[in-house]
Amino acid sequence: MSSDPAPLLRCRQITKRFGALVANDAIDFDVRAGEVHAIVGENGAGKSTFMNVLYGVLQSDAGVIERDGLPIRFANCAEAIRAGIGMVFQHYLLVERFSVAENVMLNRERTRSGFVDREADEGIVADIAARYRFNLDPRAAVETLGVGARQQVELLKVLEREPQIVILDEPTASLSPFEIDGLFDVVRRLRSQGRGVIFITHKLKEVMAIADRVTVLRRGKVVGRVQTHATNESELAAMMVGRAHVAADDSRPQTPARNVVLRATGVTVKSDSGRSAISELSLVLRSGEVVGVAGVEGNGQTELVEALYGLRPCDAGSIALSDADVTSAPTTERRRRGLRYIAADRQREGLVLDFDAVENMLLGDQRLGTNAVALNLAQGQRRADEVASVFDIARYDRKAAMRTYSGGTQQKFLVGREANDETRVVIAFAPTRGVDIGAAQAIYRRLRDLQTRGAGILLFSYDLDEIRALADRILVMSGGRIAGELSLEAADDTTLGRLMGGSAA
Amino acid sequence: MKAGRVLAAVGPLVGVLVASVLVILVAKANPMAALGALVQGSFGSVQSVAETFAQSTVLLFAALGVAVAFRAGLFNIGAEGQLVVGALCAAVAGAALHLPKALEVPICFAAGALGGAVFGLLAGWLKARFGASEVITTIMLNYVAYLGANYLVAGPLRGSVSAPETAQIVPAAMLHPIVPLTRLTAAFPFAIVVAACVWWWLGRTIAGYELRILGRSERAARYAGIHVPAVIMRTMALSGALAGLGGASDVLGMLHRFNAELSPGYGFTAIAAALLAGSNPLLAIITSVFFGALQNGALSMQAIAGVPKDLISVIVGLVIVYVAINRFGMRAALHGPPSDDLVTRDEPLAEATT
Ligand SMILES: Nc1ncnc2c1ncn2[C@@H]1O[C@H](COP(=O)(O)OP(=O)(O)OP(=O)(O)O)[C@@H](O)[C@H]1O
Ligand SMILES: [Mg+2]
Repeated sequence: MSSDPAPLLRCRQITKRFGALVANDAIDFDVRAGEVHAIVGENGAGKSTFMNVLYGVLQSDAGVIERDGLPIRFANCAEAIRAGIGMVFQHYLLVERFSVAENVMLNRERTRSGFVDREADEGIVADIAARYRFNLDPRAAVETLGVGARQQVELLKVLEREPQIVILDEPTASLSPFEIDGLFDVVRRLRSQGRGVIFITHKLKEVMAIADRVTVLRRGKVVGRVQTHATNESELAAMMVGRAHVAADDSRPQTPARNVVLRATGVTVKSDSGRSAISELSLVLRSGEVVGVAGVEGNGQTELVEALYGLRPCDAGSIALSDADVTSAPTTERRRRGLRYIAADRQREGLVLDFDAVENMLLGDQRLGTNAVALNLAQGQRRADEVASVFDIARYDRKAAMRTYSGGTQQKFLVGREANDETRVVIAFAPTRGVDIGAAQAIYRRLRDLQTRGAGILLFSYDLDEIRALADRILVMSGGRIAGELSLEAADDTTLGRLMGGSAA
Repeated sequence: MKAGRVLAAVGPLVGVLVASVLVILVAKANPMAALGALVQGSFGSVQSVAETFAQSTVLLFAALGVAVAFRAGLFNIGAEGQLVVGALCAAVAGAALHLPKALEVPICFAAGALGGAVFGLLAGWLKARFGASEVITTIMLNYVAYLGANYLVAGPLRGSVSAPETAQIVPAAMLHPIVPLTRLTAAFPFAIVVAACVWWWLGRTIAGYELRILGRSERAARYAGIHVPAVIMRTMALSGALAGLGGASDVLGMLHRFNAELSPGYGFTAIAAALLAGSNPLLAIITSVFFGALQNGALSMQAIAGVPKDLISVIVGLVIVYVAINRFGMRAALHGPPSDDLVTRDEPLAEATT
């Protein structure tokens, strides 16, 4: 180590506490010029906390940060930015109604005689976008963009300031495989320009593909640091959980598919902007089967889910749960018939972050099977306890706000609530987004249990591996239609890619 | 963290105190004498304490109304108008009906609540049906209430020759002082019971739970199968009903008739009281008494120290400013953003305390 030039950034003994909880425990860490340094660890290991310390969002309780060998302290992000650090957060921070250029240049607008020089801003943004081969219109409103494009906007915000160190907190969590390839190109380019990249992910495959070194965190401590060429996925997984990695349980429950539990016939739905988002889409889900829905983001998946769950009216066609027509039934009625939805956006839709675990476990079920006036807190408590024990949630506290749990833990609560004994049909939208391997397996197990019990599962995911791991058959969505159906055997990357690109439609 | 919370709560009060002293100095009076007179006037004797509670009563009802709306993410600026309508309804019922006291008083309160509810519902309906911002509509409806009531008591409902006001309510409708020689009536303990009920209702009932979900995120509410327009209307009706109870308590307990000047801006002070309480119904008891005390002590302050009693309005304004600073500035400084969840979300006005 001592023979190397001073790293771009080095931390010694960084400790960060939240009350009694030690989220970061004496972390030593460095990132060098021209290096991609991955950080992995289970949910709640302290990765995001550590990044927030490096980026000046949080202040450490002990430890020092050195930039180019000189000690430095960040009282806030602005100081970290000045020191050449840029960060893309796990959850994006964009102004929906602003254009791409306005978002990128926010607070740094070029001005001409006191007014914002829109053209100059757009020119600058178009320039960097071209340099990184982003296919983005600087004038497009952010609200019209998909997840992948939004992330590019976030990246542009960071890259426009030419940072020496770029932090990416779970950048691939909601990207499709193609978008991930694009992101990797950017990361490689940053590396070749001699910048340092810190890359957080739960997917070890990505670590092996992109990182030069990897640091493993467990319960706030560094438990390992290796060169990627000297390790492999299962060794990393074992380090993360602190025991030999249990091979993923791939056994599929062999339940013969039986009666239809969800049927959509000729469903046509409009998007928010009034354009047709789904046209004449039909699908059938049987009891005991998992149907995967693959597709590039923005091809009608969201609208389809909302129509099935009762949040968006159908302009034509019908939706039935088992034998009951629910085309115009409200969400409550559909839930009463056993429909559940693992929401795509857990933070604003599936959970209420300011409520505690108990109240969150009642969300959506508050009126099911009761005419009572009082809220059934006992039921919420039972369910919260059950989920906490089944999913092995560390530091479970009934009264703690959902906000204080890590993203992966929030997801466990959401899945635990939606997948239970009463579930007949569950729509799972990216159910393992941002959760660690152990938790992902627990979630898969929960879903397979449901399947064994005869529920039908409609799995939407941008992660093809996830779809292949769970689904019995695969539908590909493109342009608001089902572009094709594939058996598991036929679903290789090329075939899927071709259908997702819409070439068969 | 604990200390931070306490500081965040006490900070505004200390700030308001300091700022008030400055305002008093500007008014060229002796701050100590002025504050002394204020405290003396509001808590100096059994009578003045009772009078403070009496003045807090209307405020507390209205503050509860504002707080309930806040918890659903609705900014009800219309407590004043709802209170005026409620007062008018209670006064009309109290003058027209001749029932035994055990019936007359509850019916008059119910009339006040109903009037306020209908008036609140109007704003709720405009929002649910047309998406009209409740901030705008409730402000405008305040004028409708004021001017409408003025017209009614000057014309069709005039019940007195000497002034534009309704006839006196029948004795059976009057609430009598529970402390002699003051205006403190059973309406004050009633308001406290209502506060406790609202607290329970928000925290422990399904309807209250749904209201709070909506206050945090409309998308989560829709996800949970909540019919958002219905909850908006229900909430505004409840909010108006609580303010209407305030108006009724004013008529039954203090004025015994309605005239259009009956509220010295209770509905606006109530916004400050609700904000300061973080929309917690139990804390609203304390903050309402705080503002009730200021209002009550203001007269002695004016009499003894020569400080204009309108200073109180300045102080109310300061509280709103401080609460705003506290919400949007101090909070971030004290707690920092949560590690994982730097999401842009609709920042609710209420603390989750139930
Ligand atoms: N503001 C906070 N207050 C209290 N506890 C917190 C706060 N932020 C984080 N924590 C706790 O600190 C621990 C580390 O959280 P952190 O978000 O850093 O985990 P992570 O490794 O990023 O997890 P994930 O993979 O789920 O994103 C967790 O136990 C979390 O509950
Ligand atoms: Mg994280």
